[in-house]
Amino acid sequence: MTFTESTLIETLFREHYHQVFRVAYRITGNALDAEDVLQTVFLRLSRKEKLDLSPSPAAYLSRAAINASLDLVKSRWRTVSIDVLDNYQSTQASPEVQHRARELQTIVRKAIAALGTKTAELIVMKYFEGYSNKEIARMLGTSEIVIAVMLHRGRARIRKELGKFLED
Amino acid sequence: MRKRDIDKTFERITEEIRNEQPDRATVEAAADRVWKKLGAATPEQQIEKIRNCADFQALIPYYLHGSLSSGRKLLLEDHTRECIPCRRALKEARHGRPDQAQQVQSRNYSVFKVAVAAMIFITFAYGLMPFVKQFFNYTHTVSAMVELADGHVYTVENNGLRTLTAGVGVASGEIVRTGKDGAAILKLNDGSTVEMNERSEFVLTDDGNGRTIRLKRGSIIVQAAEQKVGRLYVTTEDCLVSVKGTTFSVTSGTKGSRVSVLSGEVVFDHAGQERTLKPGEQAVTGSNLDQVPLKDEVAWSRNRDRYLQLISELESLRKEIAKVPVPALRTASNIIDLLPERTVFYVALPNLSQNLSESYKLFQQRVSESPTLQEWFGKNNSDTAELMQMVEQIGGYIGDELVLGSALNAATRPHDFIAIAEVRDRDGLARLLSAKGVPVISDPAMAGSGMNVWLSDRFIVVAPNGEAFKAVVAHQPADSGFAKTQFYARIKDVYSEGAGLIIAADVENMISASDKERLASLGLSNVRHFIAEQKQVGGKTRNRAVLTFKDKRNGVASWLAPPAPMGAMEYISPEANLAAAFVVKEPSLLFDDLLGFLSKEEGFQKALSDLEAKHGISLKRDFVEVIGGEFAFAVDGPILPTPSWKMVLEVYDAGRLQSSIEATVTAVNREVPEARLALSKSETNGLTIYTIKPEKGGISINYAFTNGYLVAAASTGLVERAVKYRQSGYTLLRSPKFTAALPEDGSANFSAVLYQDLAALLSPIAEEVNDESRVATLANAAPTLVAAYAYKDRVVVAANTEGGPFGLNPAMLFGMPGSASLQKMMHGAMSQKK
Repeated sequence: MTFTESTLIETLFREHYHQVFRVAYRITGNALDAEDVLQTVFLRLSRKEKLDLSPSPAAYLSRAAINASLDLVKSRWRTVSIDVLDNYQSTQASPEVQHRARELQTIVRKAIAALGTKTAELIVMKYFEGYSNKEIARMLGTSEIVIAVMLHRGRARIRKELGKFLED
Repeated sequence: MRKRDIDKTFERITEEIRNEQPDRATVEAAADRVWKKLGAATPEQQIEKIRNCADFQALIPYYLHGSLSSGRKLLLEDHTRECIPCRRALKEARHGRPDQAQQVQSRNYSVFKVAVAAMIFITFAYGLMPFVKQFFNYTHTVSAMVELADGHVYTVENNGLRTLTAGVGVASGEIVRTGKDGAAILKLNDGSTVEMNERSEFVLTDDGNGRTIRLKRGSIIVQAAEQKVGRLYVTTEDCLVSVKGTTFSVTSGTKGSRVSVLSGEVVFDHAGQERTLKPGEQAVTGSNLDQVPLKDEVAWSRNRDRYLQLISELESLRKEIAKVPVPALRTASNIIDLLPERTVFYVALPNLSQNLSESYKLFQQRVSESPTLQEWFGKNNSDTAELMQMVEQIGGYIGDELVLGSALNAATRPHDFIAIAEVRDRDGLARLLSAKGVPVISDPAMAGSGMNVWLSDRFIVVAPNGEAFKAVVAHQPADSGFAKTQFYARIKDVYSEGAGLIIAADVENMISASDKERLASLGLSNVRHFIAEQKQVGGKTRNRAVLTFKDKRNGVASWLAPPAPMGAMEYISPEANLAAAFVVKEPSLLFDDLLGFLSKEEGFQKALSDLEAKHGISLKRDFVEVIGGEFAFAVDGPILPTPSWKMVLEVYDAGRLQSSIEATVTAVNREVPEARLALSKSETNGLTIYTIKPEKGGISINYAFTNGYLVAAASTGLVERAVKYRQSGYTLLRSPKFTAALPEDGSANFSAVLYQDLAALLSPIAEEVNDESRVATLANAAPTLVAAYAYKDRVVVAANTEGGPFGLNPAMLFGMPGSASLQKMMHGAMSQKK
């Protein structure tokens, strides 16, 4: 990689590190993993021969962060049970409620990570990042209908996992 | 819980997650740390100077994007004022080349988008041009989505074939084809599914009346969704089928077409005549075409589903059984001190009776609940049930460990095994044994020459014959010489770290002098002990075997080099299905050893020197001395049609090895003229790839010399990709899957490693075929990894597996296949044909 490309990386990092971290934080649920993902995404970027950031750097980095985060969650999901309460801005809820909320979040995170890569990415983009079906369709290069179908199936599976947990 | 409530919960949870903001300070701190690490990764690039026009021109895109530092910006602007070629390059970059403008215009989109694009052209820097162009690439419509693609599945394009995989979209007008052993399931936009058999081809078209599937050849099964507006049509060369909502199959070949209806109704139109087909009915267009029983017509699809169901249930069952708790690790043994001084074999087993009986109960319960499993396991075996009951009972009476030992007798041969266990409930055990009719002695002096079962206050000893019994019993535990031996000390070491299953052999004393001589050439004559153990730690099963030597390893045993960083493995991607690597000591020393071993065979030396003389090569000089000790092999990529094998070899002298290879090809062509091997080379991105292929085609070996290694693979593309993996750092060694599977020896270096991840092969299939999350968990099964570490005087082999006790688990005892076999079965099911 040339000097000029490394300047670009630096600029990208400065502009987007917060976003990448936030995306990763939402999916992995803790700051240590989010940091891991931040590093992985930019390290990979810096190792590429050619930088191709279509359709836009923000979207590309977002997706890279999502995929790296899902990979990380998947690789850890066998050993992680319930995360220790992280430092995060929460409501004034009691510890029990907070704990329960945390448990549910972990279930949802793991359920998402257990979906197929594409479906998981879609769910994250829609429900964690708030993109619309149209935007997602554009970013992934397919039609809205296909997105809707995949989202529907993904949601059904997550619902199932949630249902199982809530019955217990 | 009602669906709506669950939905609400899900919405609430995702909203919480969305609203969670990581603490600002945490993010800043993390970013700082990461940036430091990144900066460290590319220190050299930051010092580079701009030396010539090429460097300046490389800066242009970033200048236009606005990300050049002010210093460099000034330099560039200054330079382009003076330098005409660079000025022109900048101008071109700003305004775009003529053919670029052409491409954009030939896209088919609305006027509004054209206006926006024009605005972008004019007002923004042309640095955005590449981004804009890519954006417009993504607006073609997709009419169907590939849900499952197995084997050869592709779409035919002008310049060839494009492989289709799950998740890819297919547009109207695109030809979808399956080759030999291919199969696919596609979902159309309206929800209908089309399942394709091998060697089939169809095109989707859309017209005002509805959607048409033009089947060109082969077999498809269509599950048509309710057609609210219009109809779904399937046409072949000679007939038309129109549907409103049904499941039917259409087969079309050179002899004609055959339509079979499975459910719903279908209007079949052929040779100007219309006919309505009801479920179970079939129509053919040519009289030459046989009517085929409906069942067989769809057999290639139905069997697969049923089989998959079975496999997923087996895997769930296996996993549940693996979760049954196992006894805790033992840090000491009350039995080891009972063994005599000349003990040469020691096996310690945890008391698994509880685990076994619980597993069996679980097994019985699940089988009774599932007809699929019942079919597989056959009638309930009452013998097993009885046996399990007895195991449970006996298990309750004895302690937490069962030891099998064997010592040397007077003739210095190991006698038969005897079994010893602590007794918890002497009376209970005595009653049980007499109820079963087993003769028990309470005084060792009463031992006979046959089988003896001695029940003392604390122990139960079972010996197959009198000699063995006496060998153990005839000494005082207080002065057991065994405790003074090295073998004993080694075994105690294992206990001190927590023991599960132990198998230990005092090899040095076990083998006779004559055996030792035979093993000398193999280097195994100075083996001291062999100790293998297995235990459950944190839900994983740790297996470890250590072979210790009296002094430095020699002979074959010394071929494996001490643990070293495996540079050769950097050419393997994290998605590899199979990878093996090892480091050997100097290959020339190895070669000498091997020669020494082989030259004991008659005439070998002569044959070898004849061969070398004839072709003017010296194996040692031209091949062995030019390679290093690192070697890796992997299957990394699609398995069909040809496995994507690759091999990486450390090379000291690439030039010499290349000429040796050339000489070999010539030699082979001379000896075996029919082979007609051709050696060619091609250049890509600065990489020279050689190809050896028989002239008439067929499999080829492609290789390149790069970075001190020879990288060989089944195709040039694979060789290129292997080199890219290493460059990008996207390698197996760094994948979380690999590191998670490492035995916790702490070391990142090995002497040899074997890694297997069949799950990677199956996951794209598993997720799309069956909605059951169970199939997905099969695909998520952990890979297995076996690592060997060869030190000066010992070799350690360690592996983490997911089996239960004994690496097999209780499930295996009931006739269930293990995880790896399940995965193999699954793969077989996916490619099952009629």
